[in-house]
Amino acid sequence: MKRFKPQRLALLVSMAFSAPLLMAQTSTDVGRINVEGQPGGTDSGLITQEETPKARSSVTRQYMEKLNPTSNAFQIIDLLPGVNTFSQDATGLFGGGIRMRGFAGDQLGMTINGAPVNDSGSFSVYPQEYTDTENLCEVFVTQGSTDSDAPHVGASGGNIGMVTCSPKDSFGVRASQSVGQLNYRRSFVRLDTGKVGPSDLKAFISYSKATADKFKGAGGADRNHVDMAVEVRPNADVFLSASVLYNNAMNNNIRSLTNPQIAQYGRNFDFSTVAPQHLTAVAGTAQTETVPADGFYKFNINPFRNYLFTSKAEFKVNKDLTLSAEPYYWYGFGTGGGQIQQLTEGGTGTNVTRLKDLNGDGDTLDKVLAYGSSVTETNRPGVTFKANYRVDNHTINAGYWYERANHRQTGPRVAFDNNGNSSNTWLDNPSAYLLRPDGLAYQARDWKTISTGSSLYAQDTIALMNDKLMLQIGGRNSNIDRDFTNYANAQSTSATGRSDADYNIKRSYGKFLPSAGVKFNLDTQKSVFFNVAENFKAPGNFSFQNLLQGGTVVNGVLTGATLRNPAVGIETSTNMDLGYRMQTDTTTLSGSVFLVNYKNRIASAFDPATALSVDYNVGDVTVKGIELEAGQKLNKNFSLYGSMSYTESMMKQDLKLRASTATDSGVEATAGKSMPDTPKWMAAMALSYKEGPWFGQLTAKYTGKAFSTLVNDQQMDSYTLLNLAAGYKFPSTGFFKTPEVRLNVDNLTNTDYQRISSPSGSQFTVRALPLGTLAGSNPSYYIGAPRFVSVTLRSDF
Amino acid sequence: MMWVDRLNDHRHNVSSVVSLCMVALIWLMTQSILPMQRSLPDEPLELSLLTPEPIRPLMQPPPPPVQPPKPVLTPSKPTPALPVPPPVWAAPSAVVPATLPPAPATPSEPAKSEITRSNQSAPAVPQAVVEPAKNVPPPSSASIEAAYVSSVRALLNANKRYPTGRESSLQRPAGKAMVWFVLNRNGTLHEAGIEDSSNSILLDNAALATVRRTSYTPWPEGSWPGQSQHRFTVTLDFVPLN
Repeated sequence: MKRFKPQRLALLVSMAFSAPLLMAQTSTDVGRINVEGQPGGTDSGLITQEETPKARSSVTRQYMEKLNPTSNAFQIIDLLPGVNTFSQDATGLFGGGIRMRGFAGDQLGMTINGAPVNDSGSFSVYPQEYTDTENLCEVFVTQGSTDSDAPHVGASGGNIGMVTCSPKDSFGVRASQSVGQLNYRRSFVRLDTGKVGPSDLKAFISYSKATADKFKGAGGADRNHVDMAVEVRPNADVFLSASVLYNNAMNNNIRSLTNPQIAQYGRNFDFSTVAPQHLTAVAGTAQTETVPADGFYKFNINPFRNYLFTSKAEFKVNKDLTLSAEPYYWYGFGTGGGQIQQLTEGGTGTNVTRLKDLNGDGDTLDKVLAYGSSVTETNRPGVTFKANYRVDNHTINAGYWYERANHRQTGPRVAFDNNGNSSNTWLDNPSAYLLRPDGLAYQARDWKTISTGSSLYAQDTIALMNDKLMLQIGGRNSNIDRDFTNYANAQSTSATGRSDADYNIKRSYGKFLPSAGVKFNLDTQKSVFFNVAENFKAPGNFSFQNLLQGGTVVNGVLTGATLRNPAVGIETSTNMDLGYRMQTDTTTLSGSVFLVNYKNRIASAFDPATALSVDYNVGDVTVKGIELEAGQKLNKNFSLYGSMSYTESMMKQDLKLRASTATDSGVEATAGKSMPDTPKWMAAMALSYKEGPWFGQLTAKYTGKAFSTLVNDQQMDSYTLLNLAAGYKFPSTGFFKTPEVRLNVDNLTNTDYQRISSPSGSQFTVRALPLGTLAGSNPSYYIGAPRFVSVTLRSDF
Repeated sequence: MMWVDRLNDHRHNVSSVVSLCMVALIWLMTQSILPMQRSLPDEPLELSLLTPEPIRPLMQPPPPPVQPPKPVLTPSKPTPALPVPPPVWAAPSAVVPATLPPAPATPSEPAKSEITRSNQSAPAVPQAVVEPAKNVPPPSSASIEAAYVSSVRALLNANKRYPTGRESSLQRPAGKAMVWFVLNRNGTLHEAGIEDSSNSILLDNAALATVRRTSYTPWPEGSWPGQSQHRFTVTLDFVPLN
């Protein structure tokens, strides 16, 4: 054994203590490096240098600033890999649809500033309701794996996030005016306070008004929008922010058409401009007013108003721990669809299905036309608490999300006159509602759904091997409790499913959803990543409609009915990405192969337990493919972006729609078929240009052919859309700072195309063509909008 | 407007052709991407602790140049009184004339070698840089270190990244993070940490990742004499695009 030498120990100890001192004395400052945004390969604004170990893409202001300013969120992300969108018109004011990796919009979680904006009942998304593009800083997309810390219970296919810009540091006013074809007009003004006071408070408020005619048929869109935000930092450790968006829109619907309708009437066929006429009432005579076959454009409208309040309070406890609380409140009210309804006076069913004398002729023998459709009002408060903690090489994000959505869905009816004016267009005035004989308002639907969503999540990001290796392990336990109350209404009175008596049903859906990701940096520029995550989607609240069965009507009251147990459960998906990224100062490239195992897809199908065709978990789907995107700075003037998606989807089971009979198996052969609306090939390009005051952008999006029915017996042809933007920035003069003029041409080559409305679940058309005993039904298509030219003038002051 | 109608009739073909052209363009681009060399951004250097001495020239300034001899003449005598151009220390290539004067028909006399060499090399000063005079003193360690610090800064600049991911997108954090790091003489990273937090975990992590992902070059000879490791600090100032 070696002899212990205290001198050596003393030397070691003194060296240990003096080393930091020596080190400090010789420290050299390399200086300051600005990290502002992203380098050249991302100049197009369509790609960022992602570090996340999962497929993810995003769009920044550089791209959005060149778009038509009314562009909605779906149009903004249209060129990203895996994203298949359509817009009902070029302006984006009428909305549109989206699908990613085979999943529709109501299977994707969507947030604004972290607050969920999917419909709390059906999970639908309406992109035209959200923020003005001038106030948007980023839209990001996670193509397959829903983020662990995202507040979603209906996202089986990934998520989309919109992030508004902060108020500016300096005082300023921005105004813009757009004009274009189809009487397109849009005015926008924004005021920024700049930093004020010792806490650097800053805020902005903006207002916009946009109107445009439909590209076919009569009617148009009228949108009023307000955005505001405020931020304050009382001290270095506290940050407070809040934002409000308000949207009020009144749109006429654009009529979707079947192929036979297109063949017979042409692509520009739309709703009639002739107001339906009431018959002259005659006492004692049974009169019947019929619904006009082509409707009436004024009674095919989508009035909707909504606001979203989001806020954030962030506290820096110490350099390694940050806590935040993010409350939000969503409110929405509106109606949609077709509003011409035929009502039958009198009646012999339950009281809720009967109507008073509507045309005032003294009898209750008539069938009278009225104005009405489904009305939805949502009050949806929620909050997310977050903690970000760093210890050693671990960064841990944990949090809890909770919300309670009160979703009121009714179906009132009001009168209209022979000039085509309804007595209450928004259906928000109960005094205008048509009444039942008992004096209460007639309702074709009357539901209240309290949806309580929650999610407890934690995610650990571990940096290993000097940051060469990143591990990310997460999990969330997401739940939703549906408390559905059906107030007796006239929606359905059939023996197999009726709603003309009160009932209440409660169901809870939840699942623990693990996720794991790994990223390895091959060198300073190249990395590979792998990710696997589970997602889930709870059934929509519409699965709880018409649950009453049987029963008899005694003195206008339903008795003896039984409540059916809704057999539908959650649908789940497991998403896997294996990807590669390369990032240099001129090139940014990202590609991944993916596999999605989608299980228990919800659709309308035959439930053997109840022998009814209801929402049901019909089977599994596999989706696999490749997604690539690249950004390249060609020189100081030109930047190029390209993306490519190859998607192969396959349904694994047949779909049983009805009970078997001697001549009809009731089974549709969907096994081995592709998911509808899921093109195998998509590709996109964007070439952007800037030289001094000039700037421009040419984009192209190729969408391959895709089927429009579950049995793949009808398809949508492939098409390519080209959009052009070109502009000039003038020198500042007088009050005008950096004024610019921009020309936008959408669908440059006037390409014809048509899309189904990004359906999911039971919204799919099963079969277009009849086969034996199986009946066909032609799916309806939105007609691609033709070329559209607009000019925008913008200036700061 | 017949041509408009004809164009309209063929709009699908036109859009397909344009798309194909763009696909071809991106394919051509990918060919050019593959051999692309990484270039380092050349931002102005900011030094706060170290004030480097002016870099000394690697050669003695040449004597006042004289007019080159006329090529056709015999270089019997140097021409003494001629206009003196400003001294050239390390002329960049841009000052090299596009066309060199023809070489003298006969070599200079050995006794006049200094002047003659200068005369010959005056239009091509870089040659003199490549072949410094033997009695030039070696550059100081301070100047070598300053050059190395500059290269470290350029490398960090090339590897900087604004953080991405859901949390970063939602927070869009801004702030300055000061990172310390210790390099070994062979350029390997020994250790790194946060010297001064940005008040954002995301930014601190991104700053650390920038330092850790960078591959540093070995120290040049003569730098930080006697040290096997050296400690550096760098401040990364993160600003989100707005």
